[in-house]
Amino acid sequence: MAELTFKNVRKVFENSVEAVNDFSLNVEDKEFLVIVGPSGCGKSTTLRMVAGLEDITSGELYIGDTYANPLPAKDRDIAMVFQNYALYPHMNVYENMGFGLRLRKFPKHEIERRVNDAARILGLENLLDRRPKALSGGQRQRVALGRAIVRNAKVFLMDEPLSNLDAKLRVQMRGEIVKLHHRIETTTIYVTHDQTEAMTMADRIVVMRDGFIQQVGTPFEIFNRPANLFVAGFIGTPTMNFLDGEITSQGTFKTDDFELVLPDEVFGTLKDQGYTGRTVTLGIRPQDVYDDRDMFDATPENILEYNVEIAELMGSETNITIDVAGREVTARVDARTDVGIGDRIKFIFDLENAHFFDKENEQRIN
Amino acid sequence: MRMYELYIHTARQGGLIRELAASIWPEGELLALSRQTAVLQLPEAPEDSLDAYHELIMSDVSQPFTIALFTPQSRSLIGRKWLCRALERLPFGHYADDSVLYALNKHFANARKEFRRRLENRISKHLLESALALAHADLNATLAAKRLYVHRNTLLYRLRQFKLQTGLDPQRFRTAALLDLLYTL
Repeated sequence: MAELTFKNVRKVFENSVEAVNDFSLNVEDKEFLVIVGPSGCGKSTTLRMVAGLEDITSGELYIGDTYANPLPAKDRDIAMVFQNYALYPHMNVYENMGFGLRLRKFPKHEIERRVNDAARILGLENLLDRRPKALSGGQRQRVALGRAIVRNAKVFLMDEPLSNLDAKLRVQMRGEIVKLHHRIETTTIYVTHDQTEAMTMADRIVVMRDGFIQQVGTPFEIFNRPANLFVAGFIGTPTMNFLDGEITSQGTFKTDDFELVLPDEVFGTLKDQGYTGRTVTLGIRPQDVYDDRDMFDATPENILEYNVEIAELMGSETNITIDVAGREVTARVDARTDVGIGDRIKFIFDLENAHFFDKENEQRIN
Repeated sequence: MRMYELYIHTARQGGLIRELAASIWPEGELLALSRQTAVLQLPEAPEDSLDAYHELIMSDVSQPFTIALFTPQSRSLIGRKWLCRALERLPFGHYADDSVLYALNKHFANARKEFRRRLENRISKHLLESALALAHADLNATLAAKRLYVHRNTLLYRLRQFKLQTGLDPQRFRTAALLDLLYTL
């Protein structure tokens, strides 16, 4: 087990592309850290630098107390699980799991002990004689995990290990990886572009964009207090709604088409920070857009009424997209709500849960 | 019998490459072995993608290495010695044949000459001319056909023949870039 420390780590490729910039972070021992971000944001490059598969251009990386920059990959005591769950086709499960140890010249009895232990943890005891062809997708992925477990490595690195699985299996394996982490407690860095995986699996999430860390926090913090417009838009499904408007001295949020009275506490914060008379971006999650009467009664002055553009029944709820004077606003409402395309709908924003961002630098205000 | 050729190149010297070659593809015949590179002849294409094999092996050896696969047609377009040298020039990773040939021809003038000679012996003038025209027309088949004064379907037929006879798909950017490089430098 080990903790990992990144100090101003930077990676510039030969073609001058800056993949990772000023990456500073401390990954705690036994932590499950998820790095999430869109394609090309530098998350896999970060992982590969930890593994020793990419050189670090500048900055320092420590694995435990060891300065790891000059350490070759094979000496870092790190196990990797990749996106592809290919296995050596002519080797059975036992041989596949033990092959890495065999290359490292481990004695036979030690390989046997470790493979059997890993097989027990993953429920693969009865499959050890099988060839990959005779395994299902989920079983193969479990073998791929087993290949990492047998290494008894200090750190696990997982690079989108579930993205080749179908949706149902992905959900199942997500749970299995979390359970596995609780059982073996190895420090894990998990890279994904899937924010649902990040939210459901992580102890802490790192959101990256264009090589820079945007925010580090628990899933709860990232979801409820996004640091900037990018994080707010990236995390959450359906995505957060954004509307630009002016904060007036009367304590309202005013757009060209409507005006909303802000709760005193929210206005107080905005006023204290000097945003009165300035244009800001209001972010509101679809689950904070309500169409129910209780909310209407509480703040009748903030009721809006516009046309429904799209209504998608998701089962337990309906996602409706409303055309608010040319801007799309998504609301998540009760599935029993009877709305169709083109219907007029009354709704209200729960401004207690609204997020405000600076229009210029896109950083969170409140 | 048509055979694929698989190249494995590692950063580490020693017995690792031999063990990898012998264990990973026991059905393959070892054609060449140096301290860092192994060349295997495979009777058929690997079941999974090269990308998948690359990741699989990398997780076992925990070090950067290269894997490249040559199709039965393209492997004979250039000598094995040259291909090994080209692999050493590439960043570690996994490669299909056209990208290795591209690197080879970019860095070694002698290899370029050799490749041109073998290509011209292998295919007819019309096929080469068609593939080159497509490359010079930025892969726009209609424009290439117009410039050659042939019907678009004729051009497409010739491009298919080029692929069948060389293993290189002239409608892919990398092959187009390779051909452009071969005949403009």
